[in-house]
Amino acid sequence: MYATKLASLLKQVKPEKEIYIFYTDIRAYGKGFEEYYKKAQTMGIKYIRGKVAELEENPENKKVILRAEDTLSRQVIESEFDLVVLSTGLQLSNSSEKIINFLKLTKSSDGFLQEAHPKYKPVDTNIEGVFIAGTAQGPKDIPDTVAQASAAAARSMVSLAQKEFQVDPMLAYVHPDKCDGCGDCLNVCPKDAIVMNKETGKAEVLEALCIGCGACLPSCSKEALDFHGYTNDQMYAAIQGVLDQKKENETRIIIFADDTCTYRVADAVGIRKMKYSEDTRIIRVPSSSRISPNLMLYAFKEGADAIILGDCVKKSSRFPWSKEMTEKSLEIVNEKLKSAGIDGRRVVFSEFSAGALNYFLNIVNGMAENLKQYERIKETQRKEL
Amino acid sequence: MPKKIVINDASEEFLRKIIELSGEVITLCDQCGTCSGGCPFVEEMDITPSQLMRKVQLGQQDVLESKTMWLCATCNTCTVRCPRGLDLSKVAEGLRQVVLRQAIDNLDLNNYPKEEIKELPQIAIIAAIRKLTS
Amino acid sequence: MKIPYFPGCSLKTSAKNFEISAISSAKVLGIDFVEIPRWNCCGVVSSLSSDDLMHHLAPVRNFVRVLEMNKTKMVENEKRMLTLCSMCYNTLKRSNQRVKNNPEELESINNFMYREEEYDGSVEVIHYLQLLDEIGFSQMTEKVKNSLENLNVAAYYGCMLIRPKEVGIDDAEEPEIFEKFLSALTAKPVAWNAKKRCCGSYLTVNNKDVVVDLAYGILNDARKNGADLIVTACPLCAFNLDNRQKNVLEKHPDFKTIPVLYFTQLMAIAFGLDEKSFGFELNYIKPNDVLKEKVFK
Repeated sequence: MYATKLASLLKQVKPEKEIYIFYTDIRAYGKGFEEYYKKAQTMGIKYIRGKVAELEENPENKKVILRAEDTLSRQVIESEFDLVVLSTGLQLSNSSEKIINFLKLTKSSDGFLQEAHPKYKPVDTNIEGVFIAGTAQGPKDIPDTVAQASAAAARSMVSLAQKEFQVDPMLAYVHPDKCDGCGDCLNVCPKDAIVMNKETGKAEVLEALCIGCGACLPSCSKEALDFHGYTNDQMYAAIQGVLDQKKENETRIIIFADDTCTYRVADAVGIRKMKYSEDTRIIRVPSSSRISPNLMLYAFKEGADAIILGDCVKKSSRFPWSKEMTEKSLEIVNEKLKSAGIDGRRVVFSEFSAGALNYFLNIVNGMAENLKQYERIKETQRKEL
Repeated sequence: MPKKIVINDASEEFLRKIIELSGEVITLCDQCGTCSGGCPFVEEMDITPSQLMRKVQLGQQDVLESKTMWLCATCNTCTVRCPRGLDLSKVAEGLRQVVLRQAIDNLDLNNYPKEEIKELPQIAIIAAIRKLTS
Repeated sequence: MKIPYFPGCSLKTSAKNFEISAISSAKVLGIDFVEIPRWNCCGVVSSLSSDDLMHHLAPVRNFVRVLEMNKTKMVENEKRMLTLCSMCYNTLKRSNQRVKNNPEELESINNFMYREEEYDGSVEVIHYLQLLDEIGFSQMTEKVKNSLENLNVAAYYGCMLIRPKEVGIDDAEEPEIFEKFLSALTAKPVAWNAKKRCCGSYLTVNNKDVVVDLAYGILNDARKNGADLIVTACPLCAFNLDNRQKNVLEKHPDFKTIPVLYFTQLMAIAFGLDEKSFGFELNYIKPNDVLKEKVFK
């Protein structure tokens, strides 16, 4: 549409100019756009349905030779033009990178800023209190930009109207009595939310910065780092809970399902009454990276036969670092399993997008199938962990 | 009056066959014409490369009677430019294969003047035989 | 440096001048082409249909030869396969990529040629220009004895060196490796439009007129942009652009011919080798006059 606009402006000033617009599809989708397109045609601007394939300079007169197919008449146009203007696509501005890095915002696969949710939170980002509007989020015209900016302003007023900023309660915290100030956790947080309190000599979670992934927990060997709503005690109890009914000759697959994607997929599978292995037990977690090696090993000790760690697909995840950090924990677990003689293929990490129901079934049933082929874990092996 | 396009099970089957042979998702083509605009052989063709793609999309088997696929020399000019990432040279090969596998050749060197064949380097002759005969 | 070298059919017949100039000029740079024993035809053109596995046998056989050369110590731990002909380069590289990306297909090929050593996908097909780039084009500059500074050269990439993208030795739309090569040889590369336009390839057999028209366009574009001669890396392009000038002249009597050389012939000239290694007798349009005027003054 901006090619049409610029062409119309030029034609108004210099009606004698012969203007051709090469296009693939006209997408005049906004209010009044179709009329604008029609007006440009009335002014004598010619539209040719075909993408320009080649531009060459005529070495003799220095004019541009253009080649393209007019796909409507199925003939190739080869002609000289005085000027060729490229209608290029829009990209995120280079200067945006600075602010993205500073605020630790995420980009979607198209290179623009990612909103917290495409439908329900279109002007929020994954950082509380930071909102997006306009072409930072994706190409759009002025009315849409104004509409989105108004929404973003309104959203920010909600925060500003409150005397205190409320954060999500599901966050990491430190048990001061267990923390010995070793500092192992300091560089782990992708949001830099963990700091050392110089007065007490103990680590501290800055609650306004923490976004609640739990990826820091595996870094603390003293289990001094903990997570509201998914505490270490609760996790151990949950693992014990799903395993204590296990009978001899039964197997148990524990799925640590991240709250945003895996748990929703599992839910959808249930609603549709799709069948999967009865040996499966699901434990809900904020993200797979919250599960420390200790918890996984505890599960095996208590009778688990396999563990599936589920998280969102990286590019659409609130916690894109999750996969990498979970895999670090997996390495440690694999090492331990190996020394106890247990097959490492019993622990897998998988990425689930919200609609991937069949994929979920494949992963779970595939694991159940594989377990039949592996040698059963002996009690002595479990004790070694 | 150009003849009507008939869409039926046979056309769907034909499309699937070419997709299978070429390994290209032909339905992705959005007819932008970039392939035709840059094709060095387009002036010799009876239908343009993008038209060939359209005909395959709609499963029109009369595309096999066209000269276009025999004129494609796999120069890959269109392949590197296709905005949809399609490899037209593979589609052309698929169409050639459909004909060649019925033992119908597109080249008969017996009818060529001996002097002309003598002039040709073997790289040209072998390539032509590989692409144009069954 | 010893490297396994795949000649292909043309370099032993119509493009002997390509081979002799390449081998003798490579020696100047300390590169020793070791011809692959019992090499077979690459297939000339890549088979593109998904079910046609048979035609990838020939390339794979050649890769097995390279493995054997390493075993018998003909070369020292050198699994790169050097090509000069850009058709061979393209065909071999595409087959190699295909079997590397499709382990099942490689397995069926290996099973089929069960008497051969198993191919494990470890050979890498490279073009001579890539090797020169890797060891540094500047190495050539040091060896230049006959300056080419007055020579305006149009580098003709054609198709097979740069397309498709996953095979190309440089960018498919804006390649510059050939120009870098020319500059290092002290020649003046010209900017021209037709450097990556197809010459018509094997259509020269059954559609001669198409090829003659294409050649006319390409050659004229080189001339109009001030080129004294054209260099190429493809024996088929060389035939279409050089030998077909005879047919161009029949069609356009006012056409002004232009010599077409292999890039290695230009190396031999620049390095001051003796005329035997130029192999001009196989060039249809002789470059002697323009060289006398611009190089051997």
